[in-house]
Amino acid sequence: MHVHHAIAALRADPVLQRRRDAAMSRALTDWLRREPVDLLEDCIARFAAGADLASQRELAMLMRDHRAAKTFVDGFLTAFIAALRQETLGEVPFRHSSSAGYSRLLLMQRAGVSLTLCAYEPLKCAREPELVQFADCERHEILLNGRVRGVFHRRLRNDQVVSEAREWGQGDTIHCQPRCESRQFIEVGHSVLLLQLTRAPAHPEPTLVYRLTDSALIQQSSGDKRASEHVMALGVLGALGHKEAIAPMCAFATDLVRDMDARWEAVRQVLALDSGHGLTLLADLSQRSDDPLALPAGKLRQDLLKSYPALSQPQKEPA
Amino acid sequence: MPKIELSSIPGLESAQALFGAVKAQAASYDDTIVDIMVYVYDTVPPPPPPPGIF
Repeated sequence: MHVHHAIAALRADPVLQRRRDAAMSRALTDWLRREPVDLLEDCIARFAAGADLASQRELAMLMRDHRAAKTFVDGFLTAFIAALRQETLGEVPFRHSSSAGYSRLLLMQRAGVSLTLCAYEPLKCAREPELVQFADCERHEILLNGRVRGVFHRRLRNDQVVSEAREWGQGDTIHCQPRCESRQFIEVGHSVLLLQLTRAPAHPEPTLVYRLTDSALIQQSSGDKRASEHVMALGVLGALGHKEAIAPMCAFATDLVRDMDARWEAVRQVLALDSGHGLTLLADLSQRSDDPLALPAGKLRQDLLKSYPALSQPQKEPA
Repeated sequence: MPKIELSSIPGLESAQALFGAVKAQAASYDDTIVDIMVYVYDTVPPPPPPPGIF
């Protein structure tokens, strides 16, 4: 494997590594102390706690006023470009991701609120959308530069989706209300840089995907990342096959605070690990009057007893 | 007791797909999910740096 000599030198020298990390943390500290970055952190904390955007002066100004947004982003870029010139192998200490034509950098985050810098590059072939997604997430955006053709969608009360072709340019703002408004970019003329502020509740409602031709709801996916992580973790616990996992999974399945899909996944995994314990769990759940899982648990128990008559025979105590 | 296959146990009627699941990309840009997950970093944070050299 070929390793660039500068990277090899950095790997071999802890002093160089520390110097590099110190330069990047210095850039971060300096940037966070600047105006209005220092005030924005507090605004974002209050916005995350439920305040209106309009009541948070600096943040509202940033998302409305092109000059304010541009000054903010310029300040960020200047600080980190200077640090990267000094330490060319420095790592900018922000989460980032990129996919075809689209990259982003997470500048600030507090609870469900994120302030992100997004860049869109022209793609070779523009695709007209066939589907639209409505997520339980409030979204405010301001275009710093560039021009983009796209669509703005609204989900009406009767579940019909109304779409409107739009063009956005420098200084334009886009606002989407959770679960009923959405925007899609189709064609970017030149690179588009935008600042995006999003706010999602602690336990978001499912994300809805509609087909544009007939407003048919074609998919619902969990809006709750934590609940989906639990579903996956339960799958791993079950696949490992350890009987020790049964008791905590039973406790999870009966905990009303947890997400319903995740609780049901716990039921499935317990049943697959040990049918005896699973049946006891189903019996317990089906007798709870205040539990939305009571009905499906009762039904599954009856179905299983029918398919596996051995389950209804009394269990022998181990010698 | 009989062994029950996991795949034979049904999901809830109201079951939802996992967070971030998409059937097909909706438009030109894949920007529908606003969350940035750094899964490996979140789950396994990097080890602390070696003891001080100064």
